Amino acid sequence: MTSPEGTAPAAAGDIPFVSGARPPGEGGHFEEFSAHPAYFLLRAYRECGELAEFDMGGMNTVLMVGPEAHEAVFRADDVKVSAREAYQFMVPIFGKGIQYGAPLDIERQQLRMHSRGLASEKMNFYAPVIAQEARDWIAGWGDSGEMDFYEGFADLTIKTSTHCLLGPEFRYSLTDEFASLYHTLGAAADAGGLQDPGAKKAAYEARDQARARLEELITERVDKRRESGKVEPDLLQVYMDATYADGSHLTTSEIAGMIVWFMFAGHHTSANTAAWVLVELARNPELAQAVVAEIDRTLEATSGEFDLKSLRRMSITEGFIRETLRVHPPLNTLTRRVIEDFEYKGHIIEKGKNVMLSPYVAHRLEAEFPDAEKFDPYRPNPENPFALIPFGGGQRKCVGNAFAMLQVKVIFAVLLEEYEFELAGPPDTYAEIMPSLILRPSDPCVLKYRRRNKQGSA
Amino acid sequence: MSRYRIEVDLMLCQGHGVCTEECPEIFEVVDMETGYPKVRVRDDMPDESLRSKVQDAVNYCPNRTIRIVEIE
Repeated sequence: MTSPEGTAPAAAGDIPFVSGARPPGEGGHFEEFSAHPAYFLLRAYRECGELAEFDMGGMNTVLMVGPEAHEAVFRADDVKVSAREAYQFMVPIFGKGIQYGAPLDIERQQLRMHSRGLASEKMNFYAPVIAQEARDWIAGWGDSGEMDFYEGFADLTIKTSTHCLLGPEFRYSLTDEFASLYHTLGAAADAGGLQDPGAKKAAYEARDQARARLEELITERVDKRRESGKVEPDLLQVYMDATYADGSHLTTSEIAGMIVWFMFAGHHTSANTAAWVLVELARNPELAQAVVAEIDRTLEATSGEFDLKSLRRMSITEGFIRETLRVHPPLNTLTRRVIEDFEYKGHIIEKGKNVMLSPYVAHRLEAEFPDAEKFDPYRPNPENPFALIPFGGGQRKCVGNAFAMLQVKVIFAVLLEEYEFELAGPPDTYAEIMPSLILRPSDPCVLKYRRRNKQGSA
Repeated sequence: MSRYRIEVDLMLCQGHGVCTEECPEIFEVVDMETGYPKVRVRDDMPDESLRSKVQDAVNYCPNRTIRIVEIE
């Protein structure tokens, strides 16, 4: 790929408009954007530079690229540059009264509740749960075989998330219905939502039915927990015990919303990241060896236990996951609605437009990531904390970031302790696709696995 | 005599609490009036003997909230 550096900077007061738009009223760039948002945004950046304006089917949007631009957005007043207004299409998915469906002050209190459930001390419960799920998964693999790991990781992370969230009882009574309802909700979060969240379409009707049924299932769980009088170490308990500033508790419907919110933020994103990590391990066998050696060393020192301090210190594995998130960031359309004219470096972005940040584009800047197309897990973390933004940044950074990192690390510690992997197809057939707003590997994402020949065993 | 100072960017903090686990002598996480709980630095110019623990808190903070600034 050619270097994006050397693109002319935008002239003051005049933000360049991306080429190739259909006339206003005929969709502008919407079709090209929807086909592959990350590729469209990369093209927009390469053509226009730091600021690139495009037409999302009637919604003019300015892509802002680079650590300085990211920081300006992340530090902007939440009321003036609003995530809430841009993400109204998520309200029917999470539910009324939750996140962007609640007033800002309530949403902040709900974020605090998530934060409690995701605090480091809670990870001591989650890490062994995730390890157990991963071990149960590989227990049925045999000595060798091949598998679609896109589906495999999606299935595994439904189990790990529901287990950490709702406890073993719910997890072990999981039915296909839960996964299918959840899938229906996911299918409704597409680029069309950014354009017109109120559109009438079949996917949105199905979404509303699925959301209602999920709430029934979760309500059953909450009622059972209340009846049992038991206190569990899972996230459900955190939400049941949490109080707003006025001392009131979440309603059962809000608890369901918190759970859907958590699942939504963390499930596909983690599953896809795990799939990419596996693909990159298989594409880069020499780099993979160092990861495996670190995992062996760590687990030997802890006698197979997953203690948090040791997990944190797995710097090679962490670097590998971080580099995977750099190259294949799951979310690429971090969007805000401009409520009051927003000034950046002399340019005015008028109220009513959207601004968008794209980790996919940001992570390919040569100035921040020399030889950006090269997969290099030893790449130093950039000086500027707003250069690498797979989880967003600032106050609205994904609060599940540490949980996500822990989850992927634990899964790979379990997998790589027992198995080695190789690609089943040519390396370039593992393509980046975006059928929704989440970037993922094309499926089936087939890899071969074989039980490791460890020292001392056959 | 301390030769370094601790700086935090509270906007970045979401109260994950890794710093408290790595170096409880210096860091605690406290509730705020609104939003996330945030780190509180008990002593922003700690003794040199705590440097490696403070450095661990810096390194393992998931949000890169904490910095060490050397004092000339």
